[in-house]
Amino acid sequence: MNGSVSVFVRELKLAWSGGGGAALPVGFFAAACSITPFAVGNAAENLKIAGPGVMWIALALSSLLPMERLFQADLEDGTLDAYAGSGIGMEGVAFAKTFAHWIATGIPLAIVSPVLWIMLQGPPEASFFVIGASLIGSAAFFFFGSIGAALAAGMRRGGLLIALITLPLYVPTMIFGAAGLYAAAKGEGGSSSLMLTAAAALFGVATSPFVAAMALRTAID
Amino acid sequence: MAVMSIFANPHRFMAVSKWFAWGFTALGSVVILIGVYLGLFVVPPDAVQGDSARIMFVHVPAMWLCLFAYAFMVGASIVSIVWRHALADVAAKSAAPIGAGVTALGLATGSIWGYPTWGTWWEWGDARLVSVLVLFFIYLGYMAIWQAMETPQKAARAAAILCLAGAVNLPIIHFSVEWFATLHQVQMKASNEFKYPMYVVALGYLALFGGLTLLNMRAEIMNTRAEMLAQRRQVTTG
Amino acid sequence: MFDYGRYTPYVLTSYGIAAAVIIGLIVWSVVRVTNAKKKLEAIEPTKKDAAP
Repeated sequence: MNGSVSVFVRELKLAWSGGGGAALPVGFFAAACSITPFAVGNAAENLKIAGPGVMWIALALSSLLPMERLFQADLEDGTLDAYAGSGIGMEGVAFAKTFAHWIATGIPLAIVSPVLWIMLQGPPEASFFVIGASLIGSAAFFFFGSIGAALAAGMRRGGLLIALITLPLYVPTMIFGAAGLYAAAKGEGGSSSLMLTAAAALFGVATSPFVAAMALRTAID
Repeated sequence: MAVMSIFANPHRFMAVSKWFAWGFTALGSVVILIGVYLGLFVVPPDAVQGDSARIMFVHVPAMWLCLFAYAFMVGASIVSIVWRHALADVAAKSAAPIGAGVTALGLATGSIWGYPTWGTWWEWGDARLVSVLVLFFIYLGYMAIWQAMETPQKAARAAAILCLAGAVNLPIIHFSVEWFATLHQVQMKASNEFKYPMYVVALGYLALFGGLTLLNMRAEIMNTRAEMLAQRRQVTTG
Repeated sequence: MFDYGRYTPYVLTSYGIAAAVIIGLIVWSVVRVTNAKKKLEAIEPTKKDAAP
């Protein structure tokens, strides 16, 4: 337990300092949402139809961005071997790293989401709902993403493979989260969809460390 | 070490599999041809759907086989992870392209069947369609892992993990789409006496799957053994 | 020979795709295994085996 906490703290510092921390994923999130009106048409009705879905996709892709860095560096410089030898348990390592990255990047993504929501003509009253949905969704995307990151860990430029592996895992979160956002846009209750999204996220948080750990142990050998 | 033993001593598997591999391939091909002949020329048009129902004879067995192939890979992956038997890795790797191919075949024929029959090339609200589409991507990811990883041992383990993760994911996706879909469930009604070519083709597909998987396993084992021997020769003579 | 009314192009295309995929898989597998056999024979000649 103690070991996982130290992994977590170290990872948090690294995530915030190295590579600009959350700046790149947040920037990507904002950029992807911003170019939507160019593709979909800037009429408010078009944006109301496309906006929630596109925003949710952009959140998923933005969460995918840090995945390549999640395990790669520590695998290469032997830190993962050190963790394995020290008896911390790969599950704890995987969980701590993913959790730290989510705090460093996922939370900023959620904080920015209502701004982008309003920009895409979403009703401002739904802002708190959007923040909540983005917190839950980004958690799901980060933890499911860690499975892809662990499976592709040994590879140079594993980013594309990570995406290919992870996108099927994203599908339930996609369905429920987008349904919730659409409900919020119409002013109807999105709470049941949000609860299903939370269920998907919990499933991801609970199971992904074990799957990632199996993959990491293979990568270390 | 058990991991390499199948390549060091493949004789038993190779001896047993040779006749099954070629035999099932030939048998499957013949049975499929018989089924196609029945489906195209012998069976009269369906009372409800007319001649478009003939597509069912190649489409439905393809969907059955794509699920069966994946179930086969899941079984092999479990054996690989629990018992670390390299033959299981070879089996799963060999089955994947065949499974992916029939999945694509099923999706294409289903779409072509759907258009004149129900007026739509695709239906996102149908949980089966969406699940099979995701399954196709899982097949692709699985094959990509074998291509992309440096050593076959690492690829084998990672691929097995992905295969099992996909198996858990698929029922969840099926449920999610069903929950989300408010639309119709399309029922395929066709009378039974006209459906029998479908079962013939299905048996043919199954036999062909067995034969082709075995052929590919033989190819895999022979290739790896050849590389192993070439390396050994280099070490001793070079 | 093939007359399925308005469904003819759909039925024929479907069976054509099925034929292409199945024949393609068969050809690919057979080529793969015969090449592998040749490669292995070059290094490790066997006396008895007839088929790859």
